[in-house]
Amino acid sequence: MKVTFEKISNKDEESAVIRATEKTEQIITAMGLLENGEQILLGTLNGEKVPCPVSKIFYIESVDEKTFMYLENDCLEVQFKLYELEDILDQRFFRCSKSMICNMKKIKSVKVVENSKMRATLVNGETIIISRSYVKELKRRLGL
Amino acid sequence: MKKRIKMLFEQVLLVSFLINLAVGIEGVYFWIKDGEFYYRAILPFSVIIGSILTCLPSGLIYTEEVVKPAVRSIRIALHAVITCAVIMLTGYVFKWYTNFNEALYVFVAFVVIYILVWIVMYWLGKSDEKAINNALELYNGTGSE
Repeated sequence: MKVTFEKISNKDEESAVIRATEKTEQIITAMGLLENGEQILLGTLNGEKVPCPVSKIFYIESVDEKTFMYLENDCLEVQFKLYELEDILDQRFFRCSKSMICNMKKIKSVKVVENSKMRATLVNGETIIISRSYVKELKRRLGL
Repeated sequence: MKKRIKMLFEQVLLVSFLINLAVGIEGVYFWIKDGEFYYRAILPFSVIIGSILTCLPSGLIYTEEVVKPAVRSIRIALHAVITCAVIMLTGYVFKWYTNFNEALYVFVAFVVIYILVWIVMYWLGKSDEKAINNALELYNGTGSE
């Protein structure tokens, strides 16, 4: 898609027009970012499309070729693959295992388990496993 | 596969260091006791070979998923037995021992090194845990969701 930026002087006149043949998920994500200052991912819950601000996501898991976003109480299916989400999402999100991406802001604490893996307790009480090799990535993100 | 090789390499370095420490202690002990002690020329090379061979069974206990405590205990016990057999066989081939008493020393050194490796791994893990929890506290304290 061709993207054009036009500089204007009046802030009140700032606007964005997206001209496309179809309102794709990428476009909805971009619109969410422009409208709310936050990324929005479109998930599916009970067959209905639901916009989801990324700050609400606790973790994202790939199960049987499908990708699911886990929120505090809900689970939405998302059309993106994990590697695509890794590119789309910001620095809060890191790969914690082969099949999972986690929101660092939702981690309450970690505890070492076998073979230097870590068990992370999230703020909603759920626990997830951070694989040994991804512990290094978490440390890097935290500046350790 | 790459991660597994890297993990094995790190273990080889740690085990080599600890075997050399055990050999060094043995040397100092006999040097004080007898006034002289000589190492065989093949020793450094055999330590490296022994370290590599003893780290290979680590594939048994390295898994991405968390297993049940009972399964894990069986794997560790199996790992200890195989590793012990490997080190005793390596010792026999490279003449680390020539009689029962020397073989006993190698066995005791193995047990000590085996326990030390687990302690070091546990300590490193706990250090990481503490550092990450402190950093998470700072990270989550700055900027709200």
